[in-house]
Amino acid sequence: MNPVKTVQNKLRNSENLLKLEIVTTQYKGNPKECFFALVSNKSCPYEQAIFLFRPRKIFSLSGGLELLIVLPLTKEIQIIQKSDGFLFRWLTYDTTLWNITTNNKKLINTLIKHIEEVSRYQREPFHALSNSHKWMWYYESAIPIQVRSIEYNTENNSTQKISNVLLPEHYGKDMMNAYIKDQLKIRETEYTEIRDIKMIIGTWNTAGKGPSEDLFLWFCCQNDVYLEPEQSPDMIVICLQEMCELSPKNIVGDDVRMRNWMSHICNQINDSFPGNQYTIVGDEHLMGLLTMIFVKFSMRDYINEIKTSCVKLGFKGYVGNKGAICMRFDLFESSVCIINCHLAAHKNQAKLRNEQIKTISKEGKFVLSSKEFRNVYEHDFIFWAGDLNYRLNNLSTDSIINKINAKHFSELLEYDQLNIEKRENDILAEFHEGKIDFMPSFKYRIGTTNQFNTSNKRDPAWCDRILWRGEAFLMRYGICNYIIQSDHKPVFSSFMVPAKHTDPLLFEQVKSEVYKTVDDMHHESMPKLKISENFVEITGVRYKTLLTKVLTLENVGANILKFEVKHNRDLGLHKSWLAVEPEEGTLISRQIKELKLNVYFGKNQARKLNKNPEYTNCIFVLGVKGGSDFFIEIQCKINGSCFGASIQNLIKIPQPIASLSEKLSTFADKSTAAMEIPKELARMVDFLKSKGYREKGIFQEAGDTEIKKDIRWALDTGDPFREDADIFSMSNILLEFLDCLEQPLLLPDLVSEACQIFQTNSFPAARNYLVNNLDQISMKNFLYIIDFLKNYIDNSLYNGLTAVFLAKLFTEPITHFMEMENAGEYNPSVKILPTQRNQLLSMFLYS
Amino acid sequence: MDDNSAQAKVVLLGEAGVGKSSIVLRFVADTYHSDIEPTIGASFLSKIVNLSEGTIKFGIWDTAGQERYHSLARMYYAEAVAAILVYDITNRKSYEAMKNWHKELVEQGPKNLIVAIAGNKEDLVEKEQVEMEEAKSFAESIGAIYKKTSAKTRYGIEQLFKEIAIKIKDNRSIVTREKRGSIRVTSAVSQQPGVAKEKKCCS
Repeated sequence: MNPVKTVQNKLRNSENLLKLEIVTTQYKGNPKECFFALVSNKSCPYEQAIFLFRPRKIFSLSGGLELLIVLPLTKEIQIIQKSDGFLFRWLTYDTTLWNITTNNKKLINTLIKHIEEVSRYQREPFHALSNSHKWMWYYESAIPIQVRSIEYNTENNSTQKISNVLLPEHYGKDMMNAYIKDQLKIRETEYTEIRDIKMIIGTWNTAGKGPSEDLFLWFCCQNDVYLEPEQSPDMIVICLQEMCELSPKNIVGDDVRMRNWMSHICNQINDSFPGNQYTIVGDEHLMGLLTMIFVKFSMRDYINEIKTSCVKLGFKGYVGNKGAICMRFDLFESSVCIINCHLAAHKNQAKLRNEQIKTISKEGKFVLSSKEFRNVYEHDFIFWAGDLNYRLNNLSTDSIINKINAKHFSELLEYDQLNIEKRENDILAEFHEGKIDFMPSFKYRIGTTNQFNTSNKRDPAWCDRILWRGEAFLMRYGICNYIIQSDHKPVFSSFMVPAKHTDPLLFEQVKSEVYKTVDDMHHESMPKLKISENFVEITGVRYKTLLTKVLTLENVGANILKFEVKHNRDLGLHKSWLAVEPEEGTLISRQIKELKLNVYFGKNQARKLNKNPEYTNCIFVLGVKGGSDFFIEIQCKINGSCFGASIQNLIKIPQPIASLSEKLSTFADKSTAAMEIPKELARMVDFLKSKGYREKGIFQEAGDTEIKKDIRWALDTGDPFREDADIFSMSNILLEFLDCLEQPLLLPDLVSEACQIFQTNSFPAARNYLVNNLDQISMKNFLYIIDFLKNYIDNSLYNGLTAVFLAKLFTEPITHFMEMENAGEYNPSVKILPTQRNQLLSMFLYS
Repeated sequence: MDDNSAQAKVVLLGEAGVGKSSIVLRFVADTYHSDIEPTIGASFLSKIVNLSEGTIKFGIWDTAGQERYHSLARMYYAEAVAAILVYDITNRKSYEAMKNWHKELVEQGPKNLIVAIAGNKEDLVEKEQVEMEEAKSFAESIGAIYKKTSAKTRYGIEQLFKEIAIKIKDNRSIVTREKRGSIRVTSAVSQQPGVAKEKKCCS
C-alpha cells in the first residue's frame, strides 16, 4: 500500500500532507515504526501540525493507521537533538511528549525553521481557544493534554520571543499571510463589534413522559435562588432526553410525542416572555433526544448555517438507546455548537461514558454550505448539555442524603464522577462548568419537589449538566425543583455569549490598510541599488588589449543586497568581449563596490567585428535579488585593425588602418588601390628578412608580451616598430595575423581536395588544383609566405628548422582547418588527417 | 511547499512613453508624476490584491520601452503569469507596437499567459487616434482583457489589475486540481542495520 495515500485518507480534503517520513518512536510502549507527517491546512498553509500515525496490529478497514498524536507546530515546541534522533517537548514541560529516531536532519531543520518563523508572529500561546490551528481540533483526542490546557500554556508563556518583522524573503510567502492574519486579528476591534447574546440552555430528562406541566420556571431560569425571571433572552436552546419511552420494541422514537413536546415548549416559551416572539430555527430528534433552538424573531437573520449531526451510541444490544444530537450554527460571525447527549446509565459505567464522549466528539461532523467539514471542536463556543449520567463514587446512600440535606454540595462534588474524570482522564478537560450550588437533578419521586427515590440502589446524582468551552459568561445555573413530572429535574443555565459581528465595509477597509502596510514594508525593505552609470562608452579599444571601465555600485537600501549579472545566452545578447567582474556579489547597507567592465577583443571577437558593426554594442542585465533589474549599455569605439580583417580588404587600404574613420569593408569597397601583399604582412616579413634566417628559436620562442602589443599597434598605426622589437615576438605576431584573418588563405575544402589529389595522384597535380581553384590574391599571398619560409629551410643547418616542422606550425594559421571544423563551419565528407594537411604544406616548402 | 501559490508575476510591455511605469505607480503607490524618467531596466514592485476568494500578490515587472531594450523583454515575460500590453490611445503607432508585442507573445511567450490590453491616457480622449471599438474587438479576438486606463486620473487602473487577479485565480484552481500531491516518503530508519526495512502497512 502507498503510505502517502494511506495517510492522506486519514486527513480531510481541506488538509495538505506536506511531508511524510517513516520514523521509529517510543510513544506509549515499545519502539515502533510510525508515520511522521507534516500537515497544513489549505486555507492557512502556515498553520502546520505534526501528525504521528502508528500502523495497527490488526489492520482495520479505516486504513490500518492509528493517530497517536497531533501537535501544532508553534513556538511552544522544543525539539531536542539526540545522537540517533530527536525529542519533542512542549514548552519547558520536562517530560518528553515523544521521541523519534531518524537520521533525516533535513526534516528536523524544516520543522525548526518553521518554528522560528512562527515565532515571528505568533502572539497568542497555543490553547484550545486560540485563534490559530482551529482546524486541528478536529483531531482533538490526539492532542496531548498539556498542549490543550489553557492555564498551563498561558502561565508558561511569559517570555515570548516576538520580533514580528517580515524579512524581504517572506513577501509573497506563507509568512506574509501569517503576518496579515495576525495583523487582522490585532485590529479586530476596528471592524468587529461584540453583540452580547443572552442564551438560555436547558436540559431535561423527561423520563419518557409527555408534556403535562407548565415549564415557565425552567425557561425563565427561576428557582429558590434565582427568584426573578430571566428577561427576554435572545436565544433559548432546549435539550430533552427520554422524551418518549424507548424499549426493544420501540427503538425509532415517537413522532406524535415529539410533536407534542415541540408544540408545548414552543407555546410556553412564547408565553414565558410576553412581548417577545420566538421562532424555532433548528430542531432535531434522535429517538428520545430532542434539541430545539429558538431565537427572538428579530434575531433570526443572524443565525445561519444551522447543521445537525446525530451520533448513535449502541449499547448492550439496543441501537440508539443512547446518543447525541450535535447542532451547530453561526451566530453573527461566531460559531456555536450545542451537544445534547444521553450517555450510559449506572454508577459503574463511568469509563463507558468517557468513551461515549470521545465518540461523540469524533463522530459529530457537519458539512457546511461551502462543502467544508467541521467537527464539534472547531467552534468558538461549544455547549455540552444533557443527561451525562455521571454518578457519585464511594458514598453510601445515607451519607449522600445527609450531605444534601445539609446542603454540603461542594463536599459531595468531590465524589462526582464527571469532576473526577475531567481531572484525571482529560474528559471534557478544557470545558468549564458553573458552580453547582443546587440539589442533584436525579432521582426524585415523581410528583415531588425534593424527595429522592433511592429504590433500586439509585443514589442521587448530578446526572444532568451543562458545560461549555469558549469565552461565554455564565449567569445562572440551577435546577427547577417545582417541575415534578419526571424523576429528573430540569437544569437551566443562562449565558452571555459575546458574538462577533463583522462590518463587511470596515473589514474591507482594514484589510486594504493592512495590505498597504505590507506592500509599503515590502517596498521599504526591497534592496535598492545605485549604479554610477547605465550608459558606458569605451573609446580607444584595440585588438588584444584589455581595457577596464569601473562602475560603482552602492547599496542605498537598508538591507543586505545581492546582485548578479543575468546571463541570457538564449537571447543572444551576450557578447564575449565583455567580462563583468565580479559577476555576483553582496553589499551591506551603504556599502560601495566596484564593478569592472573588462573589454577585450581577441581573435574571435575581431573577426565578428568586421561582419557585424553592431557587435561593439552590448546591453547586459544587472539583477538585484528581490528587487529591480538594471540594464547597462556599453558602446565600444574600436580602432580599426588588420587583425581579423581579410587579405582582400587589406590590400585595398594603403593608409594605416587605425586612422580610418569608417568601417574597414566600407572603405575597401570604395578604394581603388590594390596592392599584391597587404602592407602589414609585408612589413612583418621584411622585418624578419632583415634579421637573417639563421637564429635559433624563431617561431618557437614566445616573445615578449609588451613588445608584441606594440608591434600590433605599430602595424595598425603605421608607426615604426620599436627598436628592441625582436624576431621571436615578430614571428609570433605573423602567425597570429594569419590565424586571425577573417578568411584563411587556403579554405579547408580546397585543402581537403588537394590533399586527396596528392594522396591518390601526385603533388604537382595537387598544386595545380590549388592554383586553378584559389583566387589570385590568396594564392599570391600564400606563395609569398611559402617563399619566405623556404629561406629558413635553406638555413636549417643554423636554425634547426625543417620543412616538416614549419608545415606543422603554419598549416592551421593558413587553413583555419581545425578551427572551422570544430566550430562546425566545415564538414568534410572525407576525413583529412592533420598529418595529411601538414604533408601537403611541407611539399610546398620542399619544392 | 508551493511558494508561488500567493505570488503572480505580471509584466508590462509596450512602446516607450505609453505610461507603463505610471500605471504601476498609480496602482501600487497611488501616485502620479507627469515627468517621470524613462525606465532603464526592469523595475520591480509588488502589491497585494484582495479578492473575495483570498488574496493574490502581484510581482510587477515594469520593463523599459525603448526599442533597443526590446529583446530583453523576453527575460520578463518568459515566466510571467500575465502580461499587460500598454498603448497610448493618442498614438496609433503605439497601438500597432502593442499588436506586435502580442504577436511576439504568441510566438515566444509562455503557454496560458493571461493577456490584458490597456489603452492608457484616457484623460486625453479628445486626442484619441485609436478608437475604443477597434481595440476592444482586437482584444476580444485574442481573448484578452481590455481596459481603458488613465494613470493620471486613476481611471480603470484598479479594475485592470483586479480582472487579471480574478483570471489568475480561475486558472490557478484548474492547475492545482491537475497536479495534486507529490510527496516522497523517506525512511531514514530503514538505512540503519538491524531495523526491519520498509515495514509498510497493509501490504
